[in-house]
Formats: sequence, structure tokens, C-alpha cells
Amino acid sequence: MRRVFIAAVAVLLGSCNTGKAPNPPPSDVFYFPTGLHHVRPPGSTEGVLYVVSSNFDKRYDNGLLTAVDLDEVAMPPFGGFTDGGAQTITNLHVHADAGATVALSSFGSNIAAWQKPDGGERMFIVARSEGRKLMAVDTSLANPLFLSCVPSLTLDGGINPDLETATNDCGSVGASLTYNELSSTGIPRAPSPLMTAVSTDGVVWVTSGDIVDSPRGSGTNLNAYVVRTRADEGLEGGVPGHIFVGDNNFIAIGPVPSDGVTTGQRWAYVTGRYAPTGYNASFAYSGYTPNTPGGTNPTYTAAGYPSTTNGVLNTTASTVLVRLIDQHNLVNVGLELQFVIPDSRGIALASDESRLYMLGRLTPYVIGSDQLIVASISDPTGVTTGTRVNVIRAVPLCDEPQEVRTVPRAGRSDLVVVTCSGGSVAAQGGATAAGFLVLYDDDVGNLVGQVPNVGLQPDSLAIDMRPPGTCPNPAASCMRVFVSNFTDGRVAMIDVTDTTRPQEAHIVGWLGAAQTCVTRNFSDSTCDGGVLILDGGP
Amino acid sequence: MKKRLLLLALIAVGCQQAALAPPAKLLGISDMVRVGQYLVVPSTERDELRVLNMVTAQQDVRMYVGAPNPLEPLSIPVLQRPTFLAVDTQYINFTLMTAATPVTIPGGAEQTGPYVYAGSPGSSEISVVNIGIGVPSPDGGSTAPQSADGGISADGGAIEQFVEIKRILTSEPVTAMAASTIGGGHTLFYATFDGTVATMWSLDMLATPNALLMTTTTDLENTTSALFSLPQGETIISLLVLPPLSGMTSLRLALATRTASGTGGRSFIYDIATNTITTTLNFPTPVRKIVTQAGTDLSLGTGLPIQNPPGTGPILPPGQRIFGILDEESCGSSACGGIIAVDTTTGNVLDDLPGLDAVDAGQSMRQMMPMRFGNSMVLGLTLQPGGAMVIPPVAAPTGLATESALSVLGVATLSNGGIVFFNAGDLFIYDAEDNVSPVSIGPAPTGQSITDFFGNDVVTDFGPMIDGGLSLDGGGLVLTDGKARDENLVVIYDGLLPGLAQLPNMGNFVFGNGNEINAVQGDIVACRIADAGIFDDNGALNIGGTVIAVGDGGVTIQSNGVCDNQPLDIRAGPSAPFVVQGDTSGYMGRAAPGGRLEFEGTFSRHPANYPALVGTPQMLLPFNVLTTDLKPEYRWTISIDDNYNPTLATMDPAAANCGLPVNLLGQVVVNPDLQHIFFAVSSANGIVDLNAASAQRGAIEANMSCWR
Repeated sequence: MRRVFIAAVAVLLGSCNTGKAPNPPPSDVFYFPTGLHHVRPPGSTEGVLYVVSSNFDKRYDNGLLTAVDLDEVAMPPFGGFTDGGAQTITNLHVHADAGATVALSSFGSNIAAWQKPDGGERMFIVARSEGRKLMAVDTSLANPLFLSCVPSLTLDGGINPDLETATNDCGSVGASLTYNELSSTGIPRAPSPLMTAVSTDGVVWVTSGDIVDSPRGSGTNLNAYVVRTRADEGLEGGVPGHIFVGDNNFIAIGPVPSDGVTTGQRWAYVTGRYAPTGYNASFAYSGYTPNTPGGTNPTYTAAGYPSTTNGVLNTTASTVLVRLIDQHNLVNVGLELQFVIPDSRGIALASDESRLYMLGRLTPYVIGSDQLIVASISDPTGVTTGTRVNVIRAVPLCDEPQEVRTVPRAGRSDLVVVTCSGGSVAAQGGATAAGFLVLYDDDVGNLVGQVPNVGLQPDSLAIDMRPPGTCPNPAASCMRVFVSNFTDGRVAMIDVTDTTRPQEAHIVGWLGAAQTCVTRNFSDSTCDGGVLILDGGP
Repeated sequence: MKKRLLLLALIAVGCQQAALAPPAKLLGISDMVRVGQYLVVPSTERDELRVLNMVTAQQDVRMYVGAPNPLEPLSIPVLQRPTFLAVDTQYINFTLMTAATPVTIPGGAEQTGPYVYAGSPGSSEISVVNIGIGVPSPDGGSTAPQSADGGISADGGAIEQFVEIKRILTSEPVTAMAASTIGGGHTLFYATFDGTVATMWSLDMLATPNALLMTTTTDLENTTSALFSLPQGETIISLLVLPPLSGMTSLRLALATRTASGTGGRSFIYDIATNTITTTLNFPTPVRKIVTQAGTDLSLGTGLPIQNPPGTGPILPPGQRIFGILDEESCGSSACGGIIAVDTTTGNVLDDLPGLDAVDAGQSMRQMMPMRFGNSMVLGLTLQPGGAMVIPPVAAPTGLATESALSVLGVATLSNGGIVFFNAGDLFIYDAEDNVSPVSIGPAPTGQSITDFFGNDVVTDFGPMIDGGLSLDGGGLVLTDGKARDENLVVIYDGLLPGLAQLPNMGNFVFGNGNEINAVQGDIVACRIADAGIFDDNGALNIGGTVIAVGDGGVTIQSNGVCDNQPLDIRAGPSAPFVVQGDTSGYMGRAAPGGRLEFEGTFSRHPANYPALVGTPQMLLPFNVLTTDLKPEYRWTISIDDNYNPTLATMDPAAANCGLPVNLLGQVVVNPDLQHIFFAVSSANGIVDLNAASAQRGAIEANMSCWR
């Protein structure tokens, strides 16, 4: 108890420190890395990897987005793995002075990348620290290693000159998702932004893992919000080169919070997090409240509430596993009545949007029985019969699945890639379990590859996809999967040298020096010069 | 300190066996097999198996097998993330001692062991764990260690129990496995998939554990034989070993395969000796799991009380039937899921008991229909000869809810937390219909309302639309059990005809879309006003003409010009103005005052009196000849209850006493010697033990224990 108290005081003191010297995060390591994004610009061999350092313990002043030029890093040859050959690459060759890093608010999320019309990319990251910011970072086609922050507009849609010049501190120029918390109603607000996604046509979605009350602190009028905005205000006739979040960008979804999000042709598919303490199960089907009283958005219509015909019906659904949301509609598709699991996290769509893959957790009850839930999607644009989503398969997963991606394969179903932040307890003696990366093949209907010992708390994924003709098997595609290890501070690299043989996936190395010496005070025996030793590691 | 007290309190509440044995601390319980007195389960995230002993010195008390240090449960380390299990199985003769003259059922009991095999998807390893030989016994089964030379040993000479004695490396990841000790052999069969091609392998596990131990793993693996491979892209997802046919010696394999993301697949029986497919299993759609059973006496399938002697009915050999869990992926929803059984001789879907009696129906009408359970999936399924459940009063010979033995008890777990108990011998689910009355109650209307288009109640002084009016019970409405659905039927006056809304206006002719067959001469042609409403300010339809002919690829209309250049709706006109729609049944037809709508419908299940119902329509709905003051879109809504109350159950979490939710269930195993049913409960990481005395419809609130 005393230790907790001291730590709490220390955190408070740290966060209230106003006179101390600047303490920026180091640029040559990753610190509690979360979001990843990989891109291969023209002329690059290995591409560029963008890594969010979330600064989860606030050791430093802020988080960081780092652009790593993988061509400069001594990357292991693709597929080049020998028994002793998995490498930890500690020299990342990050050129911070050349714009390869920008500051982010702490507790940053995944990265949602949008292809800008001018050829560069805009990356969206949300953060759960002060201000709860939606941040946007630009790269250019000519120099993907140079990062610049995209300023937000003021609440009346104007330009704040102070934000226009802070191009290397994306947190300070980002758009707050809780600016309303001191208003009379306290809403709308999204105090726990978890994940973000962006559609190809530039619609940005942000989920939030908390329900909120109105007025703030009253414990009444509980609701949860997701945020929908434009990737660039210029897309809607606003000020180009800016982002904006105002009251009309919040969508009330009912008092069940959200977690994962991905976008399809029409809908944003939003998963539901488990019910918080004091949650009333009946709220799950109380639907939604009209968006933003007095706002100008169209009225949201409820549709698709689950029917209750025949058979046993779970009448105690305490969550909404998946919601479909577009500009005008919010649909609870009723998956929780088909499959009883209290918590859904990451979500991904099949490349043809015929299926969705959702990570179902038994959080906070038990460990080890989490599920990959596969659901069919019919009429994904909803123009003929209306979009329907039905659970059609469930597969036991590794513990605490975190993020899921789909990888299209020619002539085959997608390969589904999942990180699990919990690891086999036995593999690490029950103390420092290293997580898994697993692969699911819809043609097989089961996991087809499991990669243990990825690192401590695998989190996000980035995939360097390589087309047939460039892979060891010229007839098949291959890929290098990057996985951020939140706790050990490294990015694991896993090669799938033939996507038709995912069982051969293996770790080829890690990027970045392990940070467990700093964060966990691991002893020298497990932390050799900054290099974490795990089973199967170097 | 408070936290510690809280933890202790939770343990005391949540772990029934806390005072008796250490908690198993399971982390992931994705499968379960029985070997005599033991239930073997994976603890997936601990890379181990754990063993629950169902037979202890105290009645109804189970204990996880202890470690050498009795403070800890025994851990059997195996391959990483064990997820699915197989067990050596053969069928032995079983003597029913309950008969006045004991009856021996050939192959009437499973003898499992000595080995349990553990696999993990995507892994090219199989762990072989020695558990012992499990056999039935009156006290709940026994599991003797096997001696080194293969016999059963009470003590000395036994190979160590509860240890992994081999780990077999396979060439590619294992997708399914099954093992057999039938006929004195001992063979492990397993299927692999290399990403393109599936191959079936067999591996001789040698006659004795000692022989297995004396053989190096490499030498053992070198004896692996490839039996066959499948066409590219076809994966083997479920596998059974079937006993030889009568008079034969060759083992047979039953397989279920999967193709094209689960939209395809087949099931068949493969004869190992002849290397041929002997029987195609004609499941209506692809299956994702197949299950078989030991032999039984089918005459027990009438639900006779447990203490009654068995009859002299037909003896069903082991492996004669295979039940399949239909794959929802084949159509994309639970509409094509469910459970159905085929005969392994013919490969055809079996007739269920009601179908057997429907001698005048066509063969396809006599076959059992898939047992479906709303929008949930079947997760676990077991079939146990001699199992027992509580038969609903309406079906019990005594007219009282009675725990009764069945020729085969079927138990399934559902993805929505439900449990299904069914008569797997007679292939039907009991319909409780009414928990009190012994008299069957068929489908019936449960409510009705009359409203206008906007849902406002309408005064009914114009008289009822339906003959019998508000007293539907006496009004001539006829519904057929097994066809009638739980739904609302809506009768709409001057209703919009299905598929004939917002049609392009081509002048005096509307091109057909296949739905024009619903229209008749004299029907109303209407259009919508500027705000897309169907009524004008006076509450009248915007009538633009009349249908004067139907046919020749469309509808010919006589226009009055009101709807020129606007999309057209065609509504039921005076000759048959009532349009009837069902929430589930869809468009059911149209009728005239004084007429009667007959809707044929289809059976979704076979009710007990099915033979008498063959050929009857789903609904006969008579209409009153006196219909005055009706206005367009007045609607009569009749709520229909199909009164189908199958023996579906849920566990009351307080009664289950796991201290955690008990709604995500997985595999299920029946111990007929104990008449207890054991559920692997993923949401509690434990095993819930249910006395069959409470295996009944509704919330189960007693006779459960949780072993975690």
C-alpha cells in the first residue's frame, strides 16, 4: 500500500512539475511503443516504419512519433533466420534533427494512415493523456522521413495562429476530445480515446473507452461517444491543412463504451468494451440519444435491433459487441445475443468486406479463453436488404488479443493476423510471459500459425506486404510483420516467407533496445546491456 | 490486508472444492475428454493438461488430481497452447443391470485410454499423455494404469500415469485427430494441412506403453503412413474412427472437410483396408464437427423412467450414426446451422421418431430436420447412451416431470449460453409446451390489435376483419404445429403488394419484376405525395389508376393522370383487399371479405403429432364477410406463439457457484454411471457438474457444482 501511495504521489508531483528542465523522450529507442505504420516509398527497399512511443509512465515530457528509415538500419535479410540468428537491432539511425520525430501527447494509440491527395500520408493518433487529443502528422511523398504536425482549428472553425507554428509538437496543436468537460452540460466528450481509423475517402473515427455523465460529475445521463471528423477540413470546404473536432463531430452511442474501429464501404464497425462498474445491463439496448442537442447533424435513426425469435435468448447482454455507424445511422447488430462474450477489442474486415474478425475477450473475468469471432456481413452497403452481421465461427485465441489485421491473398481467403498481449504463462515461468502473434486462415477455419515469445505485451501491428515475384516462393506473396512490444520497448519482426504457408512464420529480430532495465528494473541477468533476454531470443 | 481478505472471501465463495483440493487454476479450457473416472482438460495458457477425478471417497465430490506436493494440482506439461484433445477409444459390451434379466448391449460402452493426445492449431506436434484404461463402473467409472506389457495393472509394473510419454513431430500442422484401440490395435490417425494439401496419416502407437517408451521418437515417427491426400484447398476439420462393419475387420474413418472459407466441404467414410471412400454422408450442408456414439438399445428412447427395465428393441451398433454440427459459414448465418444425424450405412439423414410414423409422407418428409436454436451456434455436443434427463410432463408416460434414461442422451452447448438436452436416440427435442398441463397446446394467437398506418388504435365498431373477430380462439383461425412461427401476422387493408412498390412509371404499362403475380385486375395504382408519404392531407391515398390486366411481363393499368411521371405503388384492390404478412413467414397472401387465406408454409421441425399434420397448411385465416368502414392501411396485428418450448436450459450462475459467469460453455461430457453431465465452462475456467435430476428446461437452479 505504501509503495502504491508513494508512486501515486510521485506521479502527481511529476505531472504538476512546472519548473523542471525539459525532459524529452530519447529518439534512439522506443518507449512503451504502441501504434505502428509501415510504408515503402518509391526507391526504398525496406521502407519506413513509424512508431508511437506512448510514454506510458510519463517518465518523459511527452510521447513521440518516430520515423525509422529501415534502409539505414541493419535489417535482417528477409526470411533469413537461423537458430541463433534472431537479432536485436539497437541502432535505429533516427535523424531527429532532420524531422524524423515529432512530439505526441502521452498515452498515444494506434496509427490510422490516410493517403493524401498530394501523395503523402496523414497519420492519425489519439492520446489519453491531458486534453485527450486527436493528433495528425503529415509526411510528404518526397520525404516520408520528415514529420510535421497538422494544426487543429478553433471551435468556431477559425485558425489559432499559435498552433500554426508548432509543427513538431502534435499534441499541443491537436484537437481536444474533452474540451466540453467544464461546460455546463459536460458533453459531448470522449475522455478515453482508444483507437482511430480513417477511410480512404477521408473520414476519421475515434472510439472512447469510457461512458460519460452529464453534467460532469453528476453520475446521470450516462452516454458514450465516438468521434467522426474529416481527415482534412478542406475536404468539406473548410480550411485546408487542418483538422477539427466540434460538438457536431460527436456521435452518442448509448452508455456502452467503444474500443476497436475499422471502416468499410459504408460503415464504421465499432466494437464495444466491457461494461464498467455500476453499469446497468438494460442500457445496452436503450439505444442511442440524438446527437448533440441543438446541433445541426441529421437525426440518428435506430435500426437493426436484434430480434428475439426462437431458441434461447441471452437476456442479460451487458455490452454491444459491434455497432455499425455512418453519417446518419447507428445500428446495433446484436452479436452479443448470438455469442456471449463481455468484451470486444480489435476488429478487421475481410478485404471484400464479406466478413469481420473481432477479438472477443472474457475480460475482466478470466484468463485464457478469449476468442476470435468471425461474423458474416451481408449487403455491406445496406442498399439492398440492409446490412446484416451474423456470428459464424469462434476460435480459441491466445490470451488478451489486442489487434487484428487482414492480409489479402490471391485466390485464397484473407490471412488474419492477431497480436496477443498475454503470453503463455508456462513459457516464461509465470512471471514475464511473452506474448504471441497468431495467424488465422479462413480457408482452414482455424489458427494456422502461432509465434511465441514475440516480446512483452505485443500491441499494434504493421505489415510490410511483398507481392509474388519478390518472395522466396515466387508464386506466393510474403510479408514482414512488425509488432510493437509495449512493455519491453521493442518492435518485433516476424517473417512469413510464404503466405500460403503461414505455419512457417518466425521471429527474425527486434528493433530497438529493450527498455525493461528502465521500466521494470530487471536485473542484469535478464537485461544485458539493454537487450532483453527471452526464450527464443538472442 | 483488505485485499487479502477479499481474495479469501472470493475463493471461499467461488471454489466449491476449495476446502478439499487445491484449485486447478485453469487458464483456457477449450476441450474435455473422459477416461473412466477422469476428465482431462487443457489449461491452454499454462501449456499443460489437468485432470479432474470424478470418483472420490465423498459422494458428489470431485477433485483435481493432486501433484506430489498436495498443495498443488497436478500439472501435465505438454506442447505449447494445447487446444484440442483426442483419446484412444474402443467400444466394449455393456450389460444393463437394471433389467429384470440383464441385457448385454454389444459395443454399448466406450473404453477410452490409455492415451490422451493434445494438439494445438498451427502446430506440428502432438503430445501423447498416459492416463490409463478407463472403463465404466457403477460408481462412476474407473481408470486403471496400464502395465508395461499392456494389461491393466493395479500397481506394480505400470508405466507412470499422468505424464507426457511422447511428443510426436508431424510434417505439417495438425488439423484433426482421433485414436483407436479397436480390435486390439492401437492407432493414432491425424490430418495435416500444409497450406495447400491436406493429408491423412496413421501412426501405430504400438501394443504396449512399454513398447512405445522403448521406441525412440524418431523411430516412431518414421512409421507414420500417409493414407491419402485431398484435392488442393480441402482441409480435414473433424475425424472419427468407426468400428468395422459386421463381419469385417477393417477400421473406417469418418471425415468432415472444409473448402472455400467454410462455404463448401463434404463428409464421407473412408475404408482403410480398401483405401476407398465407401459412403458419402449426406448432410444437407457442410459440417464443422462430427460426433458418434457407443451402441445402445433404441427401445429405451421412449423416455421410460430410469428404473424400468429396457425393452427388447433394436440394438444400434456403435458408430452406426453420426451427428453433424452444421457449419453456419455455408450460408453465413445460423439459418443453416444446427444438429442433424445421418446413418453410416446409407449415408442418408435419418428419420426421426415422428417422421418414422409418418408412413404416408415422402421419404424426405420423414427425415429429421436440423435442430436449430435461434441465432446461436452449437459449440459443444455429446451423445451418451444411457444418459438421463428430466422429461417434460407432456412427454413423460407418467405425466410428471421425471428424470428418465434415454437410449441416447444428447447434450449441446450454445454460443448464447444455452444448453440443449435432447433425445438423440429418437432424434428429437422434447417440446415442453406447457409446464403444467399434460395436454399439448398447439400454436395459438396471444394478442391482437387494430391500428391505422401510424400505429394509432382504431375503434373497431366497423366490425372485425377476421371471422371470429376479437375472439380468435373460436374464430376459425387454424395454425399447424411445427409450421407456425413465433411472429406477428399483419393484415393490411388495401395493403401494398410485395415487390410492387415504387415501380418506374412507364405510362399505361408497368414492367414486371416477377412479383406482378401478386396483383390482380382491379387492384389500386397509387403514388406518393411530395414528402414521400402515402396519404394526402385528407388521409386518402393518391390514387392514380387501376390495374386492368396482369401478364405479358408486367401490369397494364388504366391511369387517371394523377400519378403521371411518378413511381407507382400497386395495392390490393376490392377483389381481395387484405394483404397478410408475417414477420418471419413474409408475404403469406391476400384474401377477400368472407374468404379464407390458406398459407402452405413449411415445417421447421417435426412435432410429436407430425404424422397427423403432414399436408396441412401452416395457417388458415378466415375473413369476416361484414367489413365496413375500413380505410386503407388499417392493420390487424395478430401475435402468434408457436408454443414450441424445447428443452433448452441455462445455468443460474449463483447455483453453479463458480463465482464467475457460466454462460460461455464449450465441450460437454456425460458420465452415465453417475448420471451427471460435465460442462467445460470457458467463462469461468472451470468444469460445472450437473446432476441429471436437474437436466431440464429453463433455468437450472440446483444440483450443480463448480470445479475450478
